[in-house]
Amino acid sequence: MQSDLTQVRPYGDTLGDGAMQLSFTLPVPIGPEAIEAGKQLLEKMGFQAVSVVHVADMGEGFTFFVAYAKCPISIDFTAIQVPQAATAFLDFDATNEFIRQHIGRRLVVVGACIGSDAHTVGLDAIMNMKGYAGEPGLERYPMLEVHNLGSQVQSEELVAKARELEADVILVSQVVTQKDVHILNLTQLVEILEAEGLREKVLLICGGPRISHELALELGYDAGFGAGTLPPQVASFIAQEFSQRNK
Amino acid sequence: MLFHLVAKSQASTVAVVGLAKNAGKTVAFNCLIAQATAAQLPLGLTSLGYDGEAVDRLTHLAKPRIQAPAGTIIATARAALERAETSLELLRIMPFNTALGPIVLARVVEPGNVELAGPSTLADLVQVADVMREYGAAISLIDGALNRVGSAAARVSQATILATGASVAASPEQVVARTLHAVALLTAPPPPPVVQAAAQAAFAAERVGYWHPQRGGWISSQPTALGQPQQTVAELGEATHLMVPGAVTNNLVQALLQLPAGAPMPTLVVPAGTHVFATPAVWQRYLQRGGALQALESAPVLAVTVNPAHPAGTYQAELGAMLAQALYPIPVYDLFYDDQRPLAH
Repeated sequence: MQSDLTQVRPYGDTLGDGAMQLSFTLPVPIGPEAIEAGKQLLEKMGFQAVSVVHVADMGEGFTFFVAYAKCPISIDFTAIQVPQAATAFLDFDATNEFIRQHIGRRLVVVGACIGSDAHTVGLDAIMNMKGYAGEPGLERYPMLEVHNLGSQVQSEELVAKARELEADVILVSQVVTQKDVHILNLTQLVEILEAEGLREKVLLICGGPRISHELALELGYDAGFGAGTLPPQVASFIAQEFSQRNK
Repeated sequence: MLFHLVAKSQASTVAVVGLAKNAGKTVAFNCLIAQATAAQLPLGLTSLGYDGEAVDRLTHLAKPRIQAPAGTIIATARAALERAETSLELLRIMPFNTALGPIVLARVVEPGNVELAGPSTLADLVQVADVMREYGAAISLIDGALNRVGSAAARVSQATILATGASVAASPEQVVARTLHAVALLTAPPPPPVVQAAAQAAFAAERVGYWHPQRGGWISSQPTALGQPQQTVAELGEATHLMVPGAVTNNLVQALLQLPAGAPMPTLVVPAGTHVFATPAVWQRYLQRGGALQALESAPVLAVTVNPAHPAGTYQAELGAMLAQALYPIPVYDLFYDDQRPLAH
């Protein structure tokens, strides 16, 4: 079956039928009016053939919905451009060899979850010895000297530590929420690094489920890695970008 | 008119910085572009963050586009350059890499929307601003990023336009307090010449320094007050001035506030007001205890712009008047209301 990539719609039973499953919560008590409210909301959003297939009482006058509906719009997949790290992908051995040849010493990597963020799962997946999805983490790379400072590290502590360890790379993990709180942690770190005169001396990388390269640039970071990133992607970026900048 | 203030200041690089997202930075930036175009002065445009995209990548809200007139010089990362909706003449690829590719300099041939994603570091920004002027820009304008004020440092720009608004804090009183705090830091006065010389020596050595009227200046073994504020304060002795080359954070100010009551509070000397990260409440306590800030370099805040609307729907109707009164003689503009005249104070 050949799909038209200039007009991509969600797929349910047949190609291009636009069928979607949606779930959401409304602050209304469960009942027939709630079901109608859920249906009207989706219709107002432009969905067609809306059917609310499941509702659950969440207590305190809240109702959870699952609905099926058809999406009447399409997008042009061929017109989409998402900027990605321009460096080539190197595997574990190639990255270590690249650092040995082009930099000639171990690179010091300092990582932390800053501010109130205690979600270390992303940082650990990239940094820990055991790694993630069968790929060894940065700690396993003989040409990287890795310091994982863990969670809830204040920006200024991280900068002080980076100065003490003479870090080449700072890796910040942050779960970005809608409320912008976590964004403020990320921008404050950049501003403190600038004030301390360290910004030009380090590769500054952020990562987290809602982080992209574009957001990284907006925040003043050298790169941003989102969900699904594997350790060798980060390691090969570090090796090549550091070498490029210090030619 | 906003641009007249910029032209009169004779600053070669001007930073537009915001105290929060949705404070109206890009609106102020666009107003400057339009007024400079009317005055037939070619501008150089770049950004410390990412500006000019139709939808914000963080809040998913619509954003004002950036309309560049013909003759404008822009400096933007390659991937953002490719999204310009106008024809451009490529001038030079700068040796600064960003997450979106190298920074490219281009001249706008036909007026149209451009997306600006500039250098990631202030050091690169300084060079880009200079090179844009080499290619004919009369003034380089830097759009700030989010709540970052670093580009307002005098080593980057010689004048600042500060955007503030209802998105900065929940009440107009808090917005006024945050704005006054920011303006006070950015426009901190210089230290007396003797202290200035001692601070320059300490900062050149990348060390924390101390100064006392009888003893003169001396230099600590520490490169930073970060991470060890107690030690920085313990070394104070009789010093009347504490000279910090890096960041002044809440932890340092709080360590100073631990000094015994009645002990004189040392004045903080920094390279620029952008080095102070203490929050307004902590900083106020320091000032009330007799503290003061002196900066080796500062750039004037030419004007403050106010956006009384919050994207969540709230509107702080009285904010403009309150700011105009509190900030006088700095003019305050509500650009949606009137882009020609400041609000009455």
